[in-house]
Amino acid sequence: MLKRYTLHLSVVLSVFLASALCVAQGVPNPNGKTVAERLGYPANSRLLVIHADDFGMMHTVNHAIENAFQHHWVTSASIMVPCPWFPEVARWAKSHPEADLGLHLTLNADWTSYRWRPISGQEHSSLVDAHGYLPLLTEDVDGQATMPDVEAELRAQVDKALAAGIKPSHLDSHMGTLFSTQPLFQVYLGLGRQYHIPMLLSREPSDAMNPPLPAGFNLKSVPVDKVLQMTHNVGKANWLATYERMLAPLPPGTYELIVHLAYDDGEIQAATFDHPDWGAQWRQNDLNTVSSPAFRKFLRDQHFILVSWRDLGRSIPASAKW
Amino acid sequence: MSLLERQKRRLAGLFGSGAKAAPNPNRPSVAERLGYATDARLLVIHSDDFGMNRSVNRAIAEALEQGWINSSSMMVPCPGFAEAALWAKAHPEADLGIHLTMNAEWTAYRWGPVSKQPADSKLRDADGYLPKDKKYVRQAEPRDVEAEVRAQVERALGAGVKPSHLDSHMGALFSTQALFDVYLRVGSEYKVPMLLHKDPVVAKNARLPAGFNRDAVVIDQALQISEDVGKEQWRAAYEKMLAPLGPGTYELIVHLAYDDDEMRAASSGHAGWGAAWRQNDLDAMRSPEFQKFLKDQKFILVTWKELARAIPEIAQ
Repeated sequence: MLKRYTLHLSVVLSVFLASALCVAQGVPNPNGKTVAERLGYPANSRLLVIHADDFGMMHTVNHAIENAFQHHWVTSASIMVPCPWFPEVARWAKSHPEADLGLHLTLNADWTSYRWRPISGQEHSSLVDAHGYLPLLTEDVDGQATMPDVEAELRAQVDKALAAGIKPSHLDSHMGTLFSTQPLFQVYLGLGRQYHIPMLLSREPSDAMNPPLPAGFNLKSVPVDKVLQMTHNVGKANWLATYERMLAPLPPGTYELIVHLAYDDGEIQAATFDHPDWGAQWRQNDLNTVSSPAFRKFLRDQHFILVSWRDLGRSIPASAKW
Repeated sequence: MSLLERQKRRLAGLFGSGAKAAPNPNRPSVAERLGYATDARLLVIHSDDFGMNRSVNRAIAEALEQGWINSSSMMVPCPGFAEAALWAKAHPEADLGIHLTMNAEWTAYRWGPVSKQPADSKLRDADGYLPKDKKYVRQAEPRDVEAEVRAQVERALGAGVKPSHLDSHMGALFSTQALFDVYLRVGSEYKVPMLLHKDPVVAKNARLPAGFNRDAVVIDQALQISEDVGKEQWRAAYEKMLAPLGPGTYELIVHLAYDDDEMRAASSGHAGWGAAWRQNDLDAMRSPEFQKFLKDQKFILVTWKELARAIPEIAQ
């Protein structure tokens, strides 16, 4: 098992080198078929999930994501169950069973003036701040949360989504909080295993999105090669070009582009007033980009194959399912 | 005058319709206690629901800053409470109470209780939110309601809000005697003035107990718009409501918000107190015509902070 992991690292390394050399050609996978091949695509294809985080966070976010699904600007999104606008998402999900929806497991209420509470009971939970809300920052969770409370909260989030009729196609983590320490990461891995839901994970130590996977972890259950996101300090005018520069040189493989959509309106301006990163303008820029004909053309010209997490879930062989 | 006669008169003064509010022969009226003329008409212009959502917060903050209203009460369990509390910190002069909230009445946008409720509590629906309907609050164990009421007061204090008064969202705490007793108990304990109804129709369900200090009942009548008023008649309806009032102390309860995407989505499926309703209220309160009407009618605008001075045990 350990051997397989080591072996895989060398694959990752060669993929990385190929990327560095801009060789956009399929690398034979000594480990078996690639995700693309398992899904019936040529070995040298580039699969891309265009994924909106934060469904349920605010009405403007919901409105933007619903619009993006209807126009196929995104192929997937993940839902924040503790947020006040979750019922709007649950209602939409019922009338859109084709939509690819995962759960954006949430341990933070990250805006100063707009907050939400854990859903698993609060008064003595290690998951609340002095005002009873989920903590503002990732570091607050790291510093104070006990793993039984984290697990209880996350299970409550999954159970509530299931009770609302949502069949989550995948799990991921709001603000990457569940990737920020090894104990939190273990809770996340345990949750996916218990509920049999594919998880967003990074294999690449160079990516460092999450701590190293435990020895023996079946890498066939990790369909995404690399996660791509907008970086800080990009001007509005360079938004589209930045995404294109990020995507164009990618070698064959499976990727997730994470975007944060909303209309830059009064609701989100107020919530993000002290936080330009992932703020109102940022999310409008993301929405403008994914909806732009220029970006749609870029994806076509680059022969990206757009896939959803349901597709990726089918690539995980039964033997690798937990 | 016999003792019985005196008591009857006193009760008439307490529970009688505000329009006829005769000066109480037994003790000075609220206006007199505050140093106003006996025939003065005091008015609190009060917006409920501060903290409910962004659209409401924006409208109420603006209305308080502009003086279109002079008092408001805050919904502690709501997601926008943090914003309202930040605004309160920056505006210590503002007259802000707590709008004790036992319901989450919308469909697409919901909030839960702030206290930990037992598994069988009627204050948590199947989705974990406060119930949509008041009937579940009426069915709830009074001790569960009391835990939630106390938790909301404590959360407000913890956020630096010093409440000028208490009232009840959707009147849920006025709907049974047991709930009303919780309201009275918590308000008395924290020494915070309470909106109390003298209206006999309300009093049928919830009576003030025999020994209750009647000086703490400072409002003669609370006035609200009714559901069948059309947009064009909105301001006229308020003027028709206010103009004939006799001397006394009144609270005009309004619900302010902008009729925007957020408010429309939150209140979709509810015409009453919905987005258009709240915009009508905002438009009426900020109109120069309504401001002029209040001046012409010589209403004296008072806040709950002022009314507290008419309640001896709180004023001390």
